[in-house]
Amino acid sequence: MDNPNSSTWIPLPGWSFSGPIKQDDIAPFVKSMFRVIARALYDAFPRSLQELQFATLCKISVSENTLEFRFWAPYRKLIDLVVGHLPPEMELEDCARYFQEVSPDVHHQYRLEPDILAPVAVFYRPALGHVVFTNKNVVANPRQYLDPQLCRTTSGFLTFLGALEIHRSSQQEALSDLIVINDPRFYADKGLDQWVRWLGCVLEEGSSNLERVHVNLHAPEEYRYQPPD
Amino acid sequence: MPMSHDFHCSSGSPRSFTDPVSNFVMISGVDLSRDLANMFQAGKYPREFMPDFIHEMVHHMCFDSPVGAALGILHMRSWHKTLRTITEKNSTVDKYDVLEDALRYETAIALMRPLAEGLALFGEFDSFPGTSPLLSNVAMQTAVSFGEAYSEAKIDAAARLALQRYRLSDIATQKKTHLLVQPFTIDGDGYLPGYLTVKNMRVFLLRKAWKLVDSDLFLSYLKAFFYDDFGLVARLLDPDRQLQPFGSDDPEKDSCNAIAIYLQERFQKLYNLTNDELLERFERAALAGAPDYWSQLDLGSDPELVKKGETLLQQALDSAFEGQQTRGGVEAAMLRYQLQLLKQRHLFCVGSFEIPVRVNEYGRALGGRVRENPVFAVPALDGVTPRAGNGSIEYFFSPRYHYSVCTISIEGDVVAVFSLAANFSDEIKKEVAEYEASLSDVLRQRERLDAAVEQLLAEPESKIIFDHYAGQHAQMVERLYVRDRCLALPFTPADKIDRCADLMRESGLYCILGEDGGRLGRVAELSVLNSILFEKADIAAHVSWDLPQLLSELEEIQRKTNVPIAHEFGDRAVIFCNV
Repeated sequence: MDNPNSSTWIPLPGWSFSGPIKQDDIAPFVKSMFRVIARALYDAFPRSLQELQFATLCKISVSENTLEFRFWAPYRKLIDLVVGHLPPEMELEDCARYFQEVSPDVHHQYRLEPDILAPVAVFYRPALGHVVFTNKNVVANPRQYLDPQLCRTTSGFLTFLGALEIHRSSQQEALSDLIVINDPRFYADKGLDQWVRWLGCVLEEGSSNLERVHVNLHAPEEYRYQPPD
Repeated sequence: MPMSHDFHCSSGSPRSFTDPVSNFVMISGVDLSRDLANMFQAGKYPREFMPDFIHEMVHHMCFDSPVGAALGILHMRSWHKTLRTITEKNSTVDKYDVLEDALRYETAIALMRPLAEGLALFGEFDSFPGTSPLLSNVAMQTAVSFGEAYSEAKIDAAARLALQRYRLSDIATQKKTHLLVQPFTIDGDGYLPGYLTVKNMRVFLLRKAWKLVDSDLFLSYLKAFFYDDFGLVARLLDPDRQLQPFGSDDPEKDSCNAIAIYLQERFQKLYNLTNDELLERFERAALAGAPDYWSQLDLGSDPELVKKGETLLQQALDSAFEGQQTRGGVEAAMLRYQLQLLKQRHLFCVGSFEIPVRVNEYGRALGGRVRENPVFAVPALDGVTPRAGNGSIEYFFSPRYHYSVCTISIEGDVVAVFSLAANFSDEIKKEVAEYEASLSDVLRQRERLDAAVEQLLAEPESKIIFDHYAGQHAQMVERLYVRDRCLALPFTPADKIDRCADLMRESGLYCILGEDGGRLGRVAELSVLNSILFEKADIAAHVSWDLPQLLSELEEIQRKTNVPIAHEFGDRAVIFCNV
């Protein structure tokens, strides 16, 4: 189970989409991306499900006339559906038809700053076709999410990573270079072994790497952090 | 020849200390994994260390001065000369030269020690920022480290709040009670005589300098009066005087006697010169911050002597600098070491942790180990290649230059320098990277060098001379603080001093207060409260016992023992404790 190269463990599913854009169109563009995700949710999960909650990570990068939208979530099925229903995998006309078939009720309650990785929580009620994308609380007070105890699940860990980046972006630059452990009790906590691995890598290398996050294909809220070879 | 144990310690257990030679401070009990993260954040230094922190901060402030530098130079010169006798084949170094430096240092340390401890205890129990625009480094650092609502604009308020919180605590009263029952002797650290000296100085001087109601100003003033005194520097480094162990017609020809006489005269000058007008000039000059502010003030030192002191101090630094460049081998290394120690005297070490350290291939310096994991990581200095070994993390404040910095060392070499201070430039970083930043290494090195000096001076001829002066010092200090002059009890009639000193010899004020533990506790509480409240009505509102009753008992005690405990001012509405 520990070997992330086994078929059970897959890299954190992610997807990126770039498109030409004007400054004023950033917000509508990002909204449309989340609508795509909402539509994919509809197909990815059975309607009989009462409610589904999980965390994702999102980052937008704006260059002169291009916007890149990057998105990571614990569920490969979701990402596959998104990728499969967008160009170049699907013709534009087919895409449009696909999205018109169902139109979930999407609530956008997030704030994304360019080049800052941010967590976005997903609250999905399939029966009602109701989706909320939100990061209000994290943006308002990222420190409250910087607790290793929250990192027992993939969603907790992704939220932690995003909160850390938001927190760091508001601090002076030098602070990002400093890591001090002031309560090492978590080292003894078996449920936090993957977070401790992540911490070890960050201590050694000075930064974390999303490519090292692996999730269990069959139980996406289980994650592993793979140290360098 | 046993040289004195010259570390200036706090009275707590385990004891924190300041080394007068390097001005390195050790705050005992701070824990790497529990406390280091808090040191990086303003106002979050662990509160239980506040008394030790302030105590050592006062020592550090005093030794970060011209007199402190001169003392360091004297001691280091004795190392240097000893090393030459060992390493040079036909050494021209005279053992008496080593003895000369060592004894000058010992004389000044012995005579100033009760004063130094008194000032540190005054900082701990009494000093409190008032209305003066001049804020001592101690108050500033207290605000930065313990002030919950710290902001640069309200630094004095933050210091007051932090001090108030401590002084109103039971622990402050307990510690004060412990202090008041210390032996009234100069054996050891001379805490009680030193503390009573400083307390009574203030009560005495308040009669002609009401500005000293601001006890933080009083602390700054005393530090400047004694430790920024280039006149004393001139006496310490005077090349025209030598030891006269076999006597001389003029006692001032003897270098050690000259230091002792000078210091005794300084106390007299303090009493004679201090007034509100002088304090106003002092405030203005200190606030302007000119490096030569002291020589612009007439604080009672002969201007010629002040000039001489400035020149001698500069010459000593220049000669170490030149020697480092012109000499070779071990001697150059020794001079370089001395220069570094002198340069870094401004750094106040508030945390030192011996830990395994390594620098990895990613250019990160990692320290500590909990379950095989490091607990601390920062970028290593440019050019440091991967290595590992025994090392340390030190956390410093520079009260002089207003920054904090953390250094990581492996086997004595600084491998990382990290600061969050906005004014911490690359130039400062480069300078700090050259420092002797590891406390344990500096202490080990000091032990080795002191042992070499002691060995050199252990021969009978030197030993006789050393013991002769050591005996003289003990008598002088006793006479100055506890007997004849008795700076500690200036309000006690001369013919009653011996009786009082005898009464207080074993357990301080316990006998004076009628061996009444309850009364002792009330006096301790009163005196701690008195650091923040002067009006009798305010004090009475804060205590659970009868203040007028206690004051009346204390009046009766003063009548019987001639030891005043509290002075009343301004139609008896205001009190200032003598203890």
